[in-house]
Amino acid sequence: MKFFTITFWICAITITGYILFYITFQVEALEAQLTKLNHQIIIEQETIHVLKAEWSYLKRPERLKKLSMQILPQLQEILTEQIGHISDIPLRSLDNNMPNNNLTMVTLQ
Amino acid sequence: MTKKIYYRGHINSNEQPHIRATGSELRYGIFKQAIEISKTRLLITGVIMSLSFIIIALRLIDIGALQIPKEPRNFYAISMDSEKKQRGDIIDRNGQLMATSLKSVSLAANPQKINNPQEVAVKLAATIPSVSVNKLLKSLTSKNKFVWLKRKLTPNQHWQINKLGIPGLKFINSESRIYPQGALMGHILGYVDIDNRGLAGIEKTFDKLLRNNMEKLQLTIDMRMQYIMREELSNAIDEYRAIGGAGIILDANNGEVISMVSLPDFDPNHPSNSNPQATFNRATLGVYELGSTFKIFNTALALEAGISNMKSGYDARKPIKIARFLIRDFHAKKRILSVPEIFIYSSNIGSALMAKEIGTAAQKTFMKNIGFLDKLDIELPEIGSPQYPKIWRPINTMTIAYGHGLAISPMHLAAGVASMVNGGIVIHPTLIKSNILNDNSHKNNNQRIISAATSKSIRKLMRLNNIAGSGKRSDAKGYLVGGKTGSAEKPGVNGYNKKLLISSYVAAFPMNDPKYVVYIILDEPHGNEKTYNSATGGWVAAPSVKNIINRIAPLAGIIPVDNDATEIIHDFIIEQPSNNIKILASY
Repeated sequence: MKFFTITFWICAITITGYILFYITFQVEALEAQLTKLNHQIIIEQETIHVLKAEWSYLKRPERLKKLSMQILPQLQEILTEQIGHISDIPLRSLDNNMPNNNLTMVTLQ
Repeated sequence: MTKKIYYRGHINSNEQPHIRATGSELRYGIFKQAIEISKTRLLITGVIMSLSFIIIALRLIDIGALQIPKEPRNFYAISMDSEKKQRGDIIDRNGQLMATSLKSVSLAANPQKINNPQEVAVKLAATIPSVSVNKLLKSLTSKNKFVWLKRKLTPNQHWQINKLGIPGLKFINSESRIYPQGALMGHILGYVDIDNRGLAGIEKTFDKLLRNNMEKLQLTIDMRMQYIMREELSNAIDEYRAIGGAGIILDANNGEVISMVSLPDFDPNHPSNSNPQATFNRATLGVYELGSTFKIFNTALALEAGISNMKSGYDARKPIKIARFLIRDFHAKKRILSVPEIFIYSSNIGSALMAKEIGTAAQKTFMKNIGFLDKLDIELPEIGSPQYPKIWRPINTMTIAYGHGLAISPMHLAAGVASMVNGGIVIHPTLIKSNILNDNSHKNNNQRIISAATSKSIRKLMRLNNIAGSGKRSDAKGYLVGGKTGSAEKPGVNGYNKKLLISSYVAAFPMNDPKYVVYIILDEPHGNEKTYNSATGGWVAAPSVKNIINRIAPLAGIIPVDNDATEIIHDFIIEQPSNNIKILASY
């Protein structure tokens, strides 16, 4: 009886000890990982911050205008007549033989 | 046995035993003595050890059971939000980045540790072209232990210098303020010194706030409209060879400054490169006699006080002689003019006569209420004090009617016009979106300056001026623009200089429900062939206002209307008694 009790306690202590150390090491490993990840996040945040500054530098109106003049020289400033309400646009006609539609086709070609 | 007992008493004694012992007896005695000594030592060690272990055990119980678990841990996970910046960002009303702080690296050196300064200087100068070899050599041969070689290295320079591997050089991490938009926002943002302390503009006003972990400061400025304003103003200055100018777009209803440009301007990234001319903010710091744009206020005051109505007439046939001055009309009609005519022909005589009826006290109170006698209440350190006569004489009353004798900043005027057209509520211009700071409570407290009916009349008059008067060239079709010109002679050493003008145009649109006030002022413009050598506001400033409105209205989501629609014409009708003519808002 005494032998069993002692064996039981030894086993219990060993298992508890093992689990305790196992969990401790796991937590430490995870914490190390967390630290690493958080550090990485900060570096990413800093990079994003730099990129944001760069992006706002790249999209300053002055540069966009220059680029649009270079790349899309046919692009014109919007005239007041070109601005309207969505309700001003007539619905598309179902009849395909409408002269208006033909006209659109011609201009597209 | 007796000997044994005898010896026991002398274990630690150095005394000679009293009784002489034999050889074997003596050896036995020494052996016994050694055993006794070691036993005692063991006991002491044992006690000390057990005590230590008891202490450790107690401490363990203390830590494990009694104390709140707060002991330091081996691993501290770096918290997520630890990307700390010394200074908060500044963004525009749409969230575009206007100012930010970036980590930067500066190069320093310890000259004591530099072996071959000549060689190092040459090598460094090749990498940093902005610093000369001589300057580097001078720094590197100095007696100090620390010298700055170059502040704010580019990442490429940093990498290259690192690659050179010169001992004695030092990289110092710091933060530097970056303004991605360059000069565009110079006068609004201001700038900081090398240690990131705000020295001008918003950076100075909100220096403490920006340092104290403020995440983002949102301005009311719309970067796109700011760009449009700056471009158009700059074009006008170039075309009419003006020495400078200012441009303002103001929300007519809540006083938010959408755009504020003062030219010439400066790049806040390099404030030291700019001259005092460029750092002078003409929009808020400069005070000027702004000329005929004041007729808006004069007319409003006359209508509000009930002294005149839209049908009243004033005799503008002869110049007025008062004291040693002569009040004349620039576009003299030499007849009796009605109030709308005085407005659209910009008659100084008519305005002066109206002011005479209004009286000095009423005029002064009005100017005080609208804020023209006090410094601007705006979030900038660069604000100018209005200049007005100490003793307000009748002559002053008459000249102030058409904008001479009272000098205010362009921002004052824009805010004043906004108060006139928005239904009569005084607005105070602001640069900060009100949801950010709570100290805006004192602003815009709905103080009424003129009645809604008077405000409506002013809108009609300003609209009429755009159709039939001096403001024709500002009429952006479809946006129901209304405005008033102003061309004031600049005061010089010998009185007013007829050649040097402050030419301006103030407009609001759309006039049936004004959203924005647009104001452009040019300092000393010169006429050209296109303007028939005229440098007045109607010629040099009004066309820019038209361009600006055409470009900003779509951005602001204002849908153009048909100028000639019956209900719109009807809305702006001004009835005239004389020979039953109706001045219509459309011709």
